[in-house]
Parts: sequence; structure tokens; C-alpha cells
Amino acid sequence: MNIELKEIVFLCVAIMTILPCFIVAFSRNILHSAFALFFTFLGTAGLYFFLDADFLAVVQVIIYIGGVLVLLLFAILLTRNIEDIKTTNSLSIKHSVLAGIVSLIIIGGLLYSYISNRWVFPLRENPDYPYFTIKELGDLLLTKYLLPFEVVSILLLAVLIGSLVIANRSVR
Amino acid sequence: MPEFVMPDLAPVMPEIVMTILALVTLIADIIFKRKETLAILSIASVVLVFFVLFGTPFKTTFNGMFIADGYSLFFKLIFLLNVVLTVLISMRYLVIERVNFGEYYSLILFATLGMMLMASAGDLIVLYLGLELMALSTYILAGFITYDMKSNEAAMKYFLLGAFASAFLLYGISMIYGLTGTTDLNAISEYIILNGLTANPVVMLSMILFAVAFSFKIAAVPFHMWAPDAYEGAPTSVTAFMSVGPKAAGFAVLGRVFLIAFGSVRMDWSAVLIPIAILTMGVGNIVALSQTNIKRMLAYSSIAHAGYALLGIIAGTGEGLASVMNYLLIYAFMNIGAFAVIIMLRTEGFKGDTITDYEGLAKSHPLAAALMLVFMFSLTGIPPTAGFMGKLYIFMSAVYAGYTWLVVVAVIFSAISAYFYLRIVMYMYMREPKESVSLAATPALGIALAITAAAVIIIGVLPSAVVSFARAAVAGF
Repeated sequence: MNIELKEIVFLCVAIMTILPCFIVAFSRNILHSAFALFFTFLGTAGLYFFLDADFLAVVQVIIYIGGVLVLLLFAILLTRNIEDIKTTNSLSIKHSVLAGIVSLIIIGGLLYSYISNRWVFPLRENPDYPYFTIKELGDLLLTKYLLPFEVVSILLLAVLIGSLVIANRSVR
Repeated sequence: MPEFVMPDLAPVMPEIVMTILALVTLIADIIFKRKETLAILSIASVVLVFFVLFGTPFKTTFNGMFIADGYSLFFKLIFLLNVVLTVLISMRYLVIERVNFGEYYSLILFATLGMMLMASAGDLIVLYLGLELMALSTYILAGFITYDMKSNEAAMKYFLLGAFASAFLLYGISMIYGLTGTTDLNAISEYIILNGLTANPVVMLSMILFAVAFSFKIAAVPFHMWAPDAYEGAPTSVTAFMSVGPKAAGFAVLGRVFLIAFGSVRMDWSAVLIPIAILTMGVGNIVALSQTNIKRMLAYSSIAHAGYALLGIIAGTGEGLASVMNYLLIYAFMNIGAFAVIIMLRTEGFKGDTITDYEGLAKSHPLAAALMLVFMFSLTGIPPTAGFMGKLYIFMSAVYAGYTWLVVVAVIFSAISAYFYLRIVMYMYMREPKESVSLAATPALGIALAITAAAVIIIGVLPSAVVSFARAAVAGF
């Protein structure tokens, strides 16, 4: 196995994805957890790039960093008594042991399926796989999937109206 | 690169008109101060869609994603009828509940658009999006009385369990897509038959996930937990709307997905649906016996009726499907009729939703009591009302398909149901009125009651027109 620049970058991205997870899980300060989550999300986007899923990577950045994380930070900033971290982020021995066992089972299952099936991931690129997925997805959305695309727009409008109805609690 | 080809828009015309008119209703909310105008506007929209619907050619368009056929036409008629009746019974009620906002009408139209897309979906993605459009609009309608804790609770429970059901559905869709590489219902069926996957565990698992998700939508036991709370807490007009529309839409997709996509594994899915049907009829009818709130009682009754209708799907024949459609149409009339009477008892400062409120109604308001009598008889299934005919055709189709024992079970549960329906009749006719009950009768409510009562009796006496229409609708399935 020859290590090239690509592999080094991949390892860096993988480390950037996994290491902050520990801070997210173990930090006593919920704000630190939220900021560590930023690097995990960014790292996941990087992993998608390595899988040649450029659209998914961009969407990951827009939705998870631009949407979910910002929403999370707002929720933290607007919550009172957030300094009382110990009550919100306590770790009990029982839960840790249970979580540890479940994680070990999942890792074991994944390793077993990998070894027993001898999955050889194709190193050569699939010729059918488009170079840029964004362009192909755009073409598909306006040809084959035109109807779902249009229905989604109505769905979002209905949800927008609905959330305004629910949020407007004053009785007119 | 795929070339953009303009799809044939003629089969989708009803949906396009519906979308435009829902948006017009939304904008008209800003212009008109009187919300009754919006109610009339939404009824006019639905009538227009009704006429467009009958001029629509039976075709498949959008690469097989949208199917306009007799089957979808019949279900769309139920949905449109549901809108007309719901809007008629809502007009005064919304004023009494002090939630007379224009968004109500556009949300009802959006929910109906979602149902219409579900009935016509030839592809799992369109099916899912239609279901979400319907469900999300209905969650908001259930929580429409924002100052009332019960309404909030109803919306919250409905939303959480509905989201749960959607997750099941998506899981089923992703599994069947992973196996067959397509989301097109016909293509899935072809792939399963061509590759001999009728005993494949992934097909079985995804079929079960679909059954679970659709059981949530039609409120079948054991996935009915949301229904009593949601029906009791939601505004009564919305309860009427969601006990008919989403249930019929759930049956529309259940029929299409199970008979087309999973048509080759019919024995397996009927083995899943039979216990669900028996449990649904059993729990629905037996738990309804102990209810004191009439909306809650009708919620359990609506669960039980989903169980009867499942029998037609289990039969798995065209005749069975036609009897389900026939039953759902009749159910729309009798159930909304019963809710119209309940709404009439709701006045300023008087809830009128416990069963004891009906004591002596026949003495104070004989006409209202007589109408309630007709609807209760019909829900029980006593001739000459439509409810009897609906049940008769469902049970007949199940007997012809060889499920005689299942029909015997259904008839026993149906006999049990007579207790709680006729108890209301007994309260109305054989007890003295405790307090004077005034009625919030309006012309609109009167029209709704006249339509429903007339339909219940006419279909009960002359069912052949509706039945042959349903049979013709299934013929092109």
C-alpha cells in the first residue's frame, strides 16, 4: 500500500471527523459540544467528497452546518439556565456501559460482514458514474422527477403556512 | 443528457386546478374580511375541480409516476365530497371556537391535493410526497385551536406518531428500492416476478413495513393509539375531515401498492392483514363501549370501520376493491353526518360532546334527533340505510374470496357495535332532557345534513348506481 497525498488527506479528514465526536460526547460544556459538532459535520462532508458524491457533500455543508448547527446554537443561546450543565449532560455508569456494549456489537457486526463477504471495493471508477453528480441530478429533477419536484414545492408552502398558523398564538 | 420533454398535462389537470385554487384561496384571505367568502370560494373551487375531473382522460403521465384511472377518479370524488361537507359544517363552528382564520380553508385544500396525488401515485416517491402533504396539513388543522390545550395535544400526538409512520414507510421504500432498483409500482411487481423473489426476506420485510405505515394512516389496531386523542382534541369539523379523507387516501394507496407492487405475494400480505383486521374490529368495537365522550366514541367506531373495510382488501379481488370504495363513500356520508349533528350541539359556552348531552334530544329537537338516529342506524349497519349496503357488499366479496370465517367474526363484532350506537338513540328518545340544549343551526349546516341524510337513505334503498360505478372504476385497474 503506497501512501500518496490523497491517502494522507483522507486520513486527516477521517481524524477530523472522529476526534471531535469525543468532545461532543464527553464535554461538560454543551457549547463546546456544539462547536465540536461543527468539525464532525465538516469532516463528513469531506468524506462524501472522497466518495465522489459532490452534491451530497455540498448539501451536508448547507443543511447540517448552515441549518442544523446554527439552529442548535440559537437554541442553546436562547435557553435559560444553560450554565447548569451537570444536570443536562450527566453521564451515568450504567448508560455508558450499555452504550459501550451496543457500539461493540455494531463494530463487530460490521467487521464480521466485511471479513466474511470479502467485499472488494472496486478501485477502478465505474464508467457509468457521472463526474459531477450535481449536473446529473439537476437534469433528472427537471425530466424524470419533475412531478415530485413540483409536489415538494407545494409541500414546503403548506408547511410554511402551517408553521405560521401554529406560531401565531394571538387570538384575533 | 436527457432531453426535456413536456409531459402530458391533461391527466394532471384536476391537481393543477386544485393547486391554483388553493393558492387563490390563500391570497383571497388577505383581500376578503368576511371568512364566509373563503368558505364559498373553496366550495366553488372543489366544484370546478369536480367538473375538470370528469373531463380528464384516463392516462399515465410523468414517466408512469401519475396514473389517472377509474380507481383514482372514484377516490378523488370521495375527497372532494369530504371537502364540501367539511367546509359546510365548519363555517359557523369556526366562529364559535373563535378560530375563524382563512388559512383553515387553504390547508384543507392542500391536504386534499395531497390525497388526490396519493390516489393517483404510480411511483413510491409521489406516493410519499402526497402522503406528507396530506399529513402535514392535517396535523396543523388538528391543532388549529391554538389556545386550547386539548387541540395542541391532539396535534402533537398526531404529528409524532404520524412522523413515526412516515419513517416506517420510508424504510420500506428504501428497502424495496435497494432490492429492485426502481420506485415504480409496476416495475417493482415485474422485477419481483421475473427474478422469483416472492419468498425473499427483504420483500417480506418491506411489505410488512408498508403494512405498518398504512395501518397508521387508516388507524388500524395496533397502530391506532393516536386516533382517540387526536379525534377528541381536534376541532370537531377537522375530526370529521380527518376521519374520512386520510382514511380513504390510506385505503387508496394500500389497494394500489398491495395489489400491484406486491400482487405476487398476496398470500403473505393477507396473512399480515387478517390479524390486523380482526384486532381492529375487536378493539375498535369493544373499547367504544366504555366511552363517555361522543367524539372519542366515534374515533373508536372509525377504527372499527377501518377493520371492516380491510376485509375487502384482504379479499384481494376487483370485487373486494370495489366494495371497499363503495364502503368508504358511504362512510363519508354517514360519519360526516354524525359529526354535523355533534357540531350543531356546540354553541357558545356549551361543549355538547359528552354522550349524556344527548339525553332527551328527541323532545327538545325532534329533527336533529331523527337525523342522528339515521346516522347511528347507518353506522350500525341496519337496513334500509346505506351502512347496511356497504357492509353487505364488503362481507359478500370476502365470502366469495373464501374468507367466510373472517366474515363471521366481523358480523359478531358488528353486532357488538349496535350497543354503543343504539345507546345514543336510547338516550335521545327514552330519557328526559336534563338541561335545555340550544342548537347552532345554520343554512350551511342544514345543507350538509340534508345531503348526508338523503345520501344515506337513497344509497341504502337504491345502492345499484353507486355499486356499479365502483365496479366500473375498478375495471380499468
